[in-house]
Amino acid sequence: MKRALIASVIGVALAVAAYAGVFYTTTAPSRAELCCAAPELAWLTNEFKLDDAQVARVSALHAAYLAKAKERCRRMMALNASLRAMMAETGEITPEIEKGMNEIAQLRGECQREMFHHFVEVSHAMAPEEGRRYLTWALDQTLPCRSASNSVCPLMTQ
Amino acid sequence: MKPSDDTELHAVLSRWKVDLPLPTDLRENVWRQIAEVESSRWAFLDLWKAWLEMVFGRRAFVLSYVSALIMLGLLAGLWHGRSQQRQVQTLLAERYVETVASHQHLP
Repeated sequence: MKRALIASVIGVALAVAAYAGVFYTTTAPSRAELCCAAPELAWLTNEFKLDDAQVARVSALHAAYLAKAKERCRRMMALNASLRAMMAETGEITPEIEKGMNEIAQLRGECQREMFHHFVEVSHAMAPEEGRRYLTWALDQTLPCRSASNSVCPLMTQ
Repeated sequence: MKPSDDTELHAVLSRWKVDLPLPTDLRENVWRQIAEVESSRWAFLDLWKAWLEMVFGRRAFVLSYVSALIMLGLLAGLWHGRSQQRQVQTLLAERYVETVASHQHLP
């Protein structure tokens, strides 16, 4: 009985150590990605196997794109706010409101266009095969009515 | 049953006497049966202990047992680690898309 108890204690202790060791090793890449300044870029680097030069190029493209995207977001928020104020005031669709809606639509179009340009530029900064894979993945994630599983818009099935 | 019948039944029952004597060894029989049940319960535990002592007395069994526990720990760590890794990768991919396509998340 004593031998069984000792064997069980030693076995469980070794099992816990094995569990912790494997868990720590398996999750090490994720921990490294999460700890860096831009985790999403670290993910991109690992997922699409970027070398140092590609990382530098993609990081520069990413930073430049984000700076411009931030400005477009700010403009869109301002347009949204003014449109809301005008609609709350008049309670109707006036020519000014229509103009504001067109501006928002134009800005959304610009955002969309710039985003696809960015995807293409980033894909060109990668190795050809990885670039194609990145572009397919990025379009799957962002094109309207297409999900990662390539399912169609839910409204189309109704 | 009518109330009068009930009264009659009570009268009959109060007159009823049991003439049969109790067995002389009733008390001993009861205690013997209790002891038998208890001893069979202990016998099972003794049997289990003896089996444990026998199997854990074998070095090969102890090694297999500890190895199986270690293997269980390895597999659990691998499974949990991989699932955690997948979760983080999905989270980071979503974060990348949210960052790049932030205009799609605006109202």
